[in-house]
Amino acid sequence: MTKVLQITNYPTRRPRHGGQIRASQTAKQLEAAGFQVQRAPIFIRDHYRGHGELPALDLGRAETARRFPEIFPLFDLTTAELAAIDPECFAAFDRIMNEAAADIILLEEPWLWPALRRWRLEQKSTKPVIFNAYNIEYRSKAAMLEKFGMRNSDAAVSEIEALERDLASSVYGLTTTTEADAEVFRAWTTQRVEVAANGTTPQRRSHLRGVLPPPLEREHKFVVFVASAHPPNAEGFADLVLPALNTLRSHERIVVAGGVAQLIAPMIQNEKYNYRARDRLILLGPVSDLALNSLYANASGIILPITAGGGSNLKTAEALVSDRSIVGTSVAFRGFEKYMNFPMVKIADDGVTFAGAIRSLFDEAHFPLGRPPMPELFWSSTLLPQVRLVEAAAGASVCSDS
Amino acid sequence: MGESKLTPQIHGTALQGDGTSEVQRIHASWVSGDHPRPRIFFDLSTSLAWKGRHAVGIVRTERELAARLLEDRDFDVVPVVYHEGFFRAIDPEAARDLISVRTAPVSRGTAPHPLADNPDATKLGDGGLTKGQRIALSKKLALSLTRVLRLLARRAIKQVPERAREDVRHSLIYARSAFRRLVYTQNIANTSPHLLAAMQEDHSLSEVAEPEPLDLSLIVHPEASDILFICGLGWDVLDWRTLSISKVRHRFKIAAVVYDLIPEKFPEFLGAPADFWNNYFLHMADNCEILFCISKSTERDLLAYLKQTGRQPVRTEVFLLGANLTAEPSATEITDEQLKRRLESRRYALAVGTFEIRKNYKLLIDLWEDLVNDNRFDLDLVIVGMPGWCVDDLISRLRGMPIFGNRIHWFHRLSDSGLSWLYENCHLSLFPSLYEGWGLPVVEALQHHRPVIASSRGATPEAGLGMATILDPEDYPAWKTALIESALSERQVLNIPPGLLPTWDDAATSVKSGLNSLLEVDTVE
Repeated sequence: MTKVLQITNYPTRRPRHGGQIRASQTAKQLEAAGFQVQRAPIFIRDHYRGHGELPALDLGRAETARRFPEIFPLFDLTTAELAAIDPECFAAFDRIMNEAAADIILLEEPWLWPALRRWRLEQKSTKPVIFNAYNIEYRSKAAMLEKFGMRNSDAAVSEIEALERDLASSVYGLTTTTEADAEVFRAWTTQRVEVAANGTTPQRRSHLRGVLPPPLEREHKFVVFVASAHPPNAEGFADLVLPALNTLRSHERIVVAGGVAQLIAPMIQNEKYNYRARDRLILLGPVSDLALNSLYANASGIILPITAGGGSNLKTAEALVSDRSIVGTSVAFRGFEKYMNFPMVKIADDGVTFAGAIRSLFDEAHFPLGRPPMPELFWSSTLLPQVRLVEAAAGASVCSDS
Repeated sequence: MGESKLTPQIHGTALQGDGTSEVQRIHASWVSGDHPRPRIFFDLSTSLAWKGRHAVGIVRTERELAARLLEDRDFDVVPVVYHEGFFRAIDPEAARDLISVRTAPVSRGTAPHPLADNPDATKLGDGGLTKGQRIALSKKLALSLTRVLRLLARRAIKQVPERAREDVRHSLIYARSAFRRLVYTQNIANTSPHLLAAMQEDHSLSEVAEPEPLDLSLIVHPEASDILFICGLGWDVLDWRTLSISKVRHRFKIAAVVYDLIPEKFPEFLGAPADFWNNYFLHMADNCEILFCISKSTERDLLAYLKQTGRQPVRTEVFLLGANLTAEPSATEITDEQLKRRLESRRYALAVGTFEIRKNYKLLIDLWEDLVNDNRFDLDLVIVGMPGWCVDDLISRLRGMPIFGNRIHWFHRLSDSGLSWLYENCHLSLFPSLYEGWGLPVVEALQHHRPVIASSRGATPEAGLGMATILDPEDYPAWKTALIESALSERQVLNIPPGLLPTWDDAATSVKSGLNSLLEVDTVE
């Protein structure tokens, strides 16, 4: 059986945010395809307390100081590079890689490339590496650093771009989540570039009607927005959703689940919104999978007020198979463009239209919609190009070994 | 995973007007389409309260039925627990974890603890003790403290005037019960023994994860078409006052299991006040659309109770508890090697059940004290059961007898494997209980093809399935004669006809059939 070592910079056994979910699904699809997948999550243990998984290598033990410790958008870069530059951490990384003795190495996101690159060089490893890109990181970070207000961020952005370019040209092949991202990588490399879109897992939810997390009551009607604490997820909320609070009746709610709620909370602590928000907005924060399913099962609709961020939005795929009406932006539908004209999907990119569309979710609530299943949106379909790429790499590896 | 087109407006409109018509529309959609399926809320509050603890019969019943019904394809079975006034939906994986818990086997006087044996156990605190040793020591101290408290309580009760003595005794018992509920039911997220091993740094390619705390945030708002199924310790884990209000408000149905009415018929056998039980049974009668009884005897007792209390007859169904001890017989947890060798080489009679007054072990102890003087009688007596109600004096007597530890042996608890081994190797099984709602040990003995002498009271003759010798539990001469006959006989292996023994699959099928019929009644109306 071909052994695949999957390297991530976060835990994946109990996935919460989009990257964890995607990485976890990648491992599952490869296992389903007959590969033996070993997971090597490498992260700072304290950053993921409560996620129920220990790191294969705890970067928190590094004695080397981390660069830019106060620049949150650069944490990915400066944390992961410790695996390459800190002697003890790299020794542990070396041990992991040697013990795994993988036939194929799968790198999720680019951040651990410095460590992997150094290891390949020193070990003279020729095992194929496949890179799964979730984003064009330098662009995403550039936007985040500008919002963050980092001065002289160009150097950092350039460094990230150089990292991505180097990685793209060094690997056997890579995948992206959208065709647009694939085009960028194809300009950087002659290696194989495949599009493996974000997907979702089919869920049965009808049995969860009337099962609700407090403070929701059975008499409430609500629409739901689910997103992680990735900062771009919150950028559209103030312009698109808060103005819609006016249109909600007393028993209607906008429910926000996921880490994005923590980013939204400060937005409503002002005179302009605090009472309407108090009575019409529910910030649940991170919730369990069961709670999430119960929200989808009972919601009048799903809203996706995403105006920033790269890659594709995993929650859009979830929304499409949820059999609920959707109001989203065109940015939210990046990678899912062909569904923008779907029945009961409304695209709105400005506040007035978005508010009107939310109102229609309540007025026209008619669920379940009876939307036919969309297996093309399941992970088993969307990640097939990734599986094929790994299969191709396995074949190439056998040829080069013989 | 596709869902076919569904009848719209199943949800989203508040129940108004005639709730029955709402149910009919929902049911019509089940008939014409795939979803939604009839929804059953399966209460697992008992399994949650007993997580990690030895499963007594009722807890075992809840686990076995849940294991089958949770996977049923004809219903939508949602696992729920009752917490702070509401039923809360729990994750199906968490539910499976709850119902699959088995305790570490414990043989007489020995409590092996995984931490004490774990070489990786971390040294913590002062005194140089490992954490495992500290926990084992704490357990010993707790046990000693319990014994002291029990002794003090007995002496204190004796000082109370006789006219008030029973009430004081019941109050102390009730207080102990409440304390146990408080301590055990708050222990929602247990630390897995795996966690200690996982605390090592750089656990390369770690497979281990901390257990996720149970999410109890999701409140269930039932609909008129829903059924709540309760088969656990309903008097212990539910508040029927709030449950009944919820039922009136939401008009869902309740199906529950009645194990016996022993507290009503024989209040002297139980620890809690009689009114506690009367109150509970009244709640059951007033709130349940169907009551499953575990024997015809229980059903008779229930119907008599309903008549006596002026309640309308409630629909009843009988199902039999499964007999299948599925574990492989094994004597590994009997760590007393001398005892194990004795049980392997000598013949013994086996009695299984909580060591309480109702089980009538006094009869057996009297018999053995008598029969050991007869050279023809070479059987030992092995009792398996936790100490229970109203037997402190008997236990004291037993411990003081010279034959205790020689001809009479007592295991407080054993896993299914250990129990199965004892059944396999016993000469016969004895069940002299003064009254039962069923008599599971009788059936378990038959499952192992062992002869059984069992009581004529309550449902025990039913549990005998026509294969057991049935005697009046107060007929000492009859039991003595039967025991001597058995001791003089060669080992017997009963020929059990195929299909005779009830299984948990049968039990689940019966319950499912009863729940289905409740749904049909609803749509007809």
